Amino acid sequence: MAITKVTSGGISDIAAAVEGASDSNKFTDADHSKLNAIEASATVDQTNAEIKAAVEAATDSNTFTDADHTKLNGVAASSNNYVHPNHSGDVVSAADGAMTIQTDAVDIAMLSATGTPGSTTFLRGDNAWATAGSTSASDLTSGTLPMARLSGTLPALNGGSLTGVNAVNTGRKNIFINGDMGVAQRGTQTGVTGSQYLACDRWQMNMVDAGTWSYSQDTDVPAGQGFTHSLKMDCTTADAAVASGSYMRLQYRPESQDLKQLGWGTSNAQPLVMSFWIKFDNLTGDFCTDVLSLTNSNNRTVSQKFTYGSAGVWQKCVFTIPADTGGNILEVDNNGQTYFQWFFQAGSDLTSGTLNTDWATRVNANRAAGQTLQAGSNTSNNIYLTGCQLELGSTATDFEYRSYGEELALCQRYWQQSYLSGVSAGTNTTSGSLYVPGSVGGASTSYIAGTNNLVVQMRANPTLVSYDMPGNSGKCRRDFFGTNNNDNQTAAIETACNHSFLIYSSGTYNATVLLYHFTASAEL
Amino acid sequence: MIITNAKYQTSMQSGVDITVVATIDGTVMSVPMVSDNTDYIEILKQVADGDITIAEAD
Repeated sequence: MAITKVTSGGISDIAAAVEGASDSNKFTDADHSKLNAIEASATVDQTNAEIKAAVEAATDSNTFTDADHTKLNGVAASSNNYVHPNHSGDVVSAADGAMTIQTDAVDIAMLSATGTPGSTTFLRGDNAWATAGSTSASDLTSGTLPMARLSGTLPALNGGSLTGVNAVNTGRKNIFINGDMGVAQRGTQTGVTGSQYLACDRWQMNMVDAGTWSYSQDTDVPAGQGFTHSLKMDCTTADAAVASGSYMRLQYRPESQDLKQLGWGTSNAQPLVMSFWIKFDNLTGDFCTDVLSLTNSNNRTVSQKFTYGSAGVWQKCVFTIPADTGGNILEVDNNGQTYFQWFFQAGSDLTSGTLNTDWATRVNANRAAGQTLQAGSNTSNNIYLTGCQLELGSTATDFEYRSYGEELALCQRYWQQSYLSGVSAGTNTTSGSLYVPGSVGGASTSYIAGTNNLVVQMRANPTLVSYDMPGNSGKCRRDFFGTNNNDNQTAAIETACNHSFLIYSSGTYNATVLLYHFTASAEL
Repeated sequence: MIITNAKYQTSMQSGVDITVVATIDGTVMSVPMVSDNTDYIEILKQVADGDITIAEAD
C-alpha cells in the first residue's frame, strides 16, 4: 500500500474520509458536541421503576403517588373542598347549612310591599298595605267576635236578629192592661147574648148570633207560668148552625195615644207582637186573630190563624203583627181606632176569603179565612184566656207582671164602681154604698145633693148609673137616720168632667142622707 | 145596644143640658154629651139612623 504524505490539507481529507465511510463508527464532531452536553456520571440505563422511585422519593418533586391517585379517584367530578360557613345575625346557620330566621328578625322595614305601612294598615295577600277600615262586614263569614271587641257604643240592632238572648224584664212593655185577668171589678156575668165588656176589666166581647154565654174570672191557668187568673167564657146555650153574619170575637181597644210609639203610617213604623195563652174545652180546630185599624177613609186589617190541636190543654200563641208603613197615622187622642181581636165564632162572611197575613185594606171575608173552630156550637165549649201581652218588636218576651194595685188603677181609667170588686152592679147590698149628707136641721123632702170624686181621672166624661140598695138603676135610697129606708127614689146623676160627678134627689120621703151605689164607665 | 126612653137632662149646676138619660140594655144610664163618650156616640148614631129620638128635658 502506498503511503501518502499527510498534509494539513490531507488531515481534513482523512477526517472527511473517515466520517464519510458508512461503517467506520467514526466519532464525529456532532457526536462530540452531543457527548459534551452530557453531564459527568450520567447514565442511560435506569429502569422505569428506578426513575419512578427516584421521582417519588424526592422531597420537592410534587410527585403524584398511587395513594394520591386512589384519593383522587374517590372525588366526584367537579367536586371541591368547600366548608359551609356559620352565619350569625338575623339569619343563623349551622355547620350542616341549616338556616334559621331569628325571633323578631323580620320587621316591617324588611318587607317589600306596595303602599305605606301604618298603625291602621295590614299586609294583604296581594303584597299591598291596606287600611283595616276598608274591610267590608260581609268579609266576616265565620268565627265568633270576642266580647272585648263589643265594648263601647254598639250600633242599633234589630231585636228580631237577636237569638239566644234572655228576656229583658223591662217595665211598661205590655200595652194590654189586665192581660193576666187579675182585675175583675164587674163580677160574673150570665145570660149574655150581645156585646159588652166582660168580667175581667178591659176585655170586651163583640158578638152576634153566637149563643148565650157566661163570663167570669177563673183560677184555671197554664201551669208554671205565674198566672193566677184567667177569663172564662162559658157557652150556656149553643148556636149549632153558624150563619153568615154570625160572629163572636173578643177584643181589646187601647187608646190611640197609647200607641203613638208604633209610628204606623210612617217610614218608622214598628212591628208588634201579641202573645197569649188559651184553652178550649171540648174543641179543636183553627181560629184566627186580627188587628183592625179604622179611620173614616181607610180601614185596614192583618190576620193570623192558629191551630188548636189538643182540647183541654193550654196553648201559647204568638201573633206577629208587621209594621204598617202604609197604614193609618194614629191620632194622638183618647179615642180608640185600633182593635185587637180573637175570633171564637165566625160565619162564612168572615171566613170565605184569603187570610191577610200582611196589612191590607179590610175585606171582611179575609179576616177569619180558614177558621174552623166555632165556639158557640156546644155548651161544653168553654174558653179560657190569660197571659195576653202586646209589645213592640217581633219577638214575644216573658209576660210583664204588674202589681194588682197598679193594674187596678189602670183599669179604673175606664171603669169604676162603688160595689166591692167582683160584685156585679145591681146586686142587693149596702157594702161599698156612698152617703150624701142632707139637712142637718132635720128630715126634709127637699133636694139632697153631693159630689163624689172618682178615684182616678177617667178616659172621658163617664156614663154614670146610680143604684139604690136593692139594685134598681137610676135610683137611690133616701134615709132618715137609718130608720126609714126608702129605696127606689129617683136620682139624677151628671158630670161635666172626668174626675167627679154630682148626684141629687128629691122625693116625698123625709130624709137626712142619700145612699147610692154607682158605676162610671169610660170604656171605648 | 138597645136604647129607649132617651131624654135630655138639665144640669143642676149649670142649668144647661149636658146629659142624656136613657135606658140602655135595660139599665138607666146618664150619658154625658161629649164626643169621646162611646155611649153618646152610639146615641147620636141611632138618632141619625132614625131609630130613636131624644126627648126634651123637664
